[in-house]
Amino acid sequence: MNRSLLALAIVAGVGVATAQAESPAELSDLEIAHVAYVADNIDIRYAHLALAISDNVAVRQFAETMIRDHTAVNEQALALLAKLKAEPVDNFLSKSLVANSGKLINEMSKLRGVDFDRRYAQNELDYHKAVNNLVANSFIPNIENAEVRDLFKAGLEIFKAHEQHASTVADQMK
Amino acid sequence: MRPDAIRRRFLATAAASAAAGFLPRLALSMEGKPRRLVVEIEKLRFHPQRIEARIGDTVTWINRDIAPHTATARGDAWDTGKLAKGESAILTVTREMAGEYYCRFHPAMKGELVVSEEPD
Repeated sequence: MNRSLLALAIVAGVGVATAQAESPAELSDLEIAHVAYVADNIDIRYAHLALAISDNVAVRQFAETMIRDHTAVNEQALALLAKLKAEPVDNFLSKSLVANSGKLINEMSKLRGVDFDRRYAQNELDYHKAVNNLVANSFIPNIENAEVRDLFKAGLEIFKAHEQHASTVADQMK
Repeated sequence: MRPDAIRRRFLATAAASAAAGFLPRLALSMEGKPRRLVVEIEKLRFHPQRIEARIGDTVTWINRDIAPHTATARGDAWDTGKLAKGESAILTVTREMAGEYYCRFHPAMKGELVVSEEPD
């Protein structure tokens, strides 16, 4: 993992497993697909937590968009994998994402009111920044299958909009 | 000239006069015919971002993105409803539709509908 990605991963609570694969850039297409699927589902979990806890309209609307969009992206990814007759492959980065999201959900579950809203919005901003950097700089340049690469490019456009949206919501919480 | 021949000529002349008289109006009518305008939603943008329509035209919004979108008036005067990938909605333009619109799911996505009453 290069230095900037490592820094982003730490900021976003994305753990780094040094004993296994060397770098996200070395993951295969099917491992990258697994990471993306896991990352989508993690953000959906965060969003469900926000809908369970927050009364803030902007936070709730953002969370609903996260569920809607990440579900749509995952459905497209599963359809493509089915077409390619391929199964996503678990890997170090997926495991790290899951482990760290579990800790973060435990932490955020204890917060209420504006404390939760601020934490959720800031995490969404950090998380999308980190994942977008991974997708743009490590995944897309290394994906071999053209259809998979196109899906990631389309996904990145959506996730960049999420990052911008999260930034707006986070600013509103200050 | 036989009476039926006179009658045919009269009818032909009348038809020609009528056609000539009505031509400008017919041409105007063709110009004023409602048009079918299309806005494609792609990469979280409305294309074109600004659309000029006349009252009675139809506008079709087509979503090419994976993410669902809407086209919704500021103030919610009109709304396409949720458009999943590949779905479209057709609205007939009214005076009240003029103004800025956006995607309810992605508020940074903005478009503008300019409405005129006169034919071009």
